[in-house]
Amino acid sequence: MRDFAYQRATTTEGARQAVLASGMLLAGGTSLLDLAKCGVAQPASVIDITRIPGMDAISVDANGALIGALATMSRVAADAHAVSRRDGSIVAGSVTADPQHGLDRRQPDAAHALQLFPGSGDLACL
Amino acid sequence: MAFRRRDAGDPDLSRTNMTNRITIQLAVNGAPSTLEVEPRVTLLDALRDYLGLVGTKKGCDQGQCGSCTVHVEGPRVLSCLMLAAQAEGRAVTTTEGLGGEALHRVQAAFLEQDGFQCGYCTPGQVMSAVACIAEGHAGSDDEIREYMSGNLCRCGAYPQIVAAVRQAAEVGR
Repeated sequence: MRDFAYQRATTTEGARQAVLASGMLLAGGTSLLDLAKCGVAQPASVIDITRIPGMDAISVDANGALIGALATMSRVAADAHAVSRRDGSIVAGSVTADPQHGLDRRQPDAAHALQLFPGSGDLACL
Repeated sequence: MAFRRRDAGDPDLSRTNMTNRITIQLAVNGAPSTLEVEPRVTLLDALRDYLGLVGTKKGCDQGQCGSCTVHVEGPRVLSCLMLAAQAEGRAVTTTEGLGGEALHRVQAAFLEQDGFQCGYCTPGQVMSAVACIAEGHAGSDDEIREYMSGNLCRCGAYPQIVAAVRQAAEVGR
């Protein structure tokens, strides 16, 4: 893995500015770090967004479920009953379809659901 | 107390840019440490190469085998896919930090149920099992299999691993 600079963003605006200055976002790490290890990704700067408050929220109302971009698969799986009122079958399916289901599910799940179910475009990805 | 790489003489490391280092504070198994690391150092490498905690194993190093499982602030994570810098200020628990004078009940259950063969995956299995039980996902053998499915055992000791997790869960009830 090539060397890179590390920055920790504490606000979404700070993260945005850092990305504009040529950085790559690091959330769960399940994609960026393994790609960086094999040389596919070669970030000069990595911006850690995992400590930006409020981005991991999960909420459900009459209009559907909102899954924060930093909500991990393990939390979504734990809260599957909360999201089942609308898109639960899709979300729960995306979580349990993952071969790493039983372990580290740090991948932000909204993106994960959309990856596994491209047709689930009505899922909001914050 | 600051630690330095134990393998600093490794020729592969001589090519690294020694100027790009950051200082981080880690709390591993309740012990605070100050490390000077390159930003690309994973939590797994920090544990093994900087702190000498080699109980956490490097298997695939790509987040697929579960051998490197540790707890960060409680939940289980794959330490090969987490930068050491990301763990700064957070409580990290490794297999060395589970038991005190005696074995943790999960470790004891693995021994009693013969839940391993070569043992390489065992620390990760044990860390996952502790979390699996704490999460309330050890209610049945099927549930245990599901929530332990991220930890691979090439020796195929899965029946005994399930039995060990079930025993430890029952002891804890």
